[in-house]
Amino acid sequence: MFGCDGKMMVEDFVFPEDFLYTTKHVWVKVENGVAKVGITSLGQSLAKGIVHVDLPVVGQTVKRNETVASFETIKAVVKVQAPFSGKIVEVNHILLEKPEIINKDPYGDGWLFKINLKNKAEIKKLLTAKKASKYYEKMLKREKEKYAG
Amino acid sequence: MQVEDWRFLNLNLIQLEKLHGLEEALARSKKFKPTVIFWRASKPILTMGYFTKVEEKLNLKKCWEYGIKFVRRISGGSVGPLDPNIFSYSLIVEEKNPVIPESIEESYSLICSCLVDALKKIGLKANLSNLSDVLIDGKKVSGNAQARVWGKIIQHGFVYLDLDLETFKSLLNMEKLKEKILSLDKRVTWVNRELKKIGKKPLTFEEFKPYVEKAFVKNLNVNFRDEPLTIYERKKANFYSKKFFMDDWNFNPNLHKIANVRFSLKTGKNLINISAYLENKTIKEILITSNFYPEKFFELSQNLKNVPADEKSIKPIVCKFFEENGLNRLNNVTVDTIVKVIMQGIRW
Repeated sequence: MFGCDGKMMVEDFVFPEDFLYTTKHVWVKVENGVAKVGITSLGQSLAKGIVHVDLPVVGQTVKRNETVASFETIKAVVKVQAPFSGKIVEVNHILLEKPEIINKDPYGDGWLFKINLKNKAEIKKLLTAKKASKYYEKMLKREKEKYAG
Repeated sequence: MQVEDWRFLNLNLIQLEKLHGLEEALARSKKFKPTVIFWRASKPILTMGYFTKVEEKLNLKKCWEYGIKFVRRISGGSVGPLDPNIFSYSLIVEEKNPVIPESIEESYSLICSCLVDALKKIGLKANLSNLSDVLIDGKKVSGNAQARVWGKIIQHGFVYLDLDLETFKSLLNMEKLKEKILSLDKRVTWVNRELKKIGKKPLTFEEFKPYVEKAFVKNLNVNFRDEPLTIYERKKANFYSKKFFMDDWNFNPNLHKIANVRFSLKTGKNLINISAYLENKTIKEILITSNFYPEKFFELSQNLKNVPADEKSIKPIVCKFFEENGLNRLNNVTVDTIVKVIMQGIRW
């Protein structure tokens, strides 16, 4: 689970330790009450080539688990749920023109939107990198077992 | 692994908009059971992927002329025709369900194998290709699309039993898709054409269905249990189908999301619908649709973007549009009436 440089890893996929995660392949980085949200390295890899992105609108108020963005991959549309309630304060418009950035740099330039936290208690419902790594490790193991032989 | 019971709904003919509403109602439901629906569109209609740009892909004039509607689905992919001679199915299952793989490719492969096997059973040499298409002799006979939302996988697809390919081609945008349209004859086929080639009788929807049903049960290793919709589910399905009937969803899902003005006016047989997004008293986005001269109203909408939302600014644009198009009135509706309707909509 640990990479050679101490990073949380699930197979080849990194889970940076200063980020939080949902069980739906979404990462969150909270700074000064504003959370940046994106797709994990594993999530973008499972999705493969991302060809279109649909983002929320700045000013939009969203509830936790409400569908807030979506992206089209190799012929599947995947909806992204808000990790918590709040107001959208910024969206990454570059993705509308260059959605492939999510695949290239999921934890950096591939961020989706920023959301102003309404209820800080909801952060506790997210997983730490350690817990997320365990969760996704189990998920991948289950998948492999399902198709072994 | 224990064999799961899955819900099976044999709906036969249904309006596409209502079918999508039902998919959404079931997928959002808290009392969810994995479900497979067999259905066919009650009338010829176009289905298009969530991100499809209507103006780029469709010949809107022809669609309006033939009275063929187009409905945006929540899944991906391009534009395709549906009608009562096209077998269609929907499968809705939790993402974590052990029967269906998490990986998109593997889930397509498993679900589409049911269609491939059904086609093989009726004597056709079918194979899965290009991730989500089923081919016979290299030609597409079935397309499939997927959405992952509300913790569920929704996959729907079709098998062409018969296909009016010429009409479908005429509904596409020849300017933008010329090569693709011209090569459709070589790239697409349908079951009854292929059966004829090998001297077999054509199949109806009802005759083809049991082959698909058996293949689903066998390949997914599940039991199908007939379980009709409850009154509550029907109500929910009707509620969620509203979106798929709305022009702003079908033309521009972004406008559907942000519209802060929605207005419909019916005078006699004339119906005008307005959806708009106003910001700082300016029309940022607007879609005007109607059941008469739809192409003219659609064009007019394009001219009203970024115009101040007041009569003084809107009227000259409508006047100019009428003049440029050599129109005095549209179906007895004058410039003044149209401006009045737009203003009424905006003030609403």
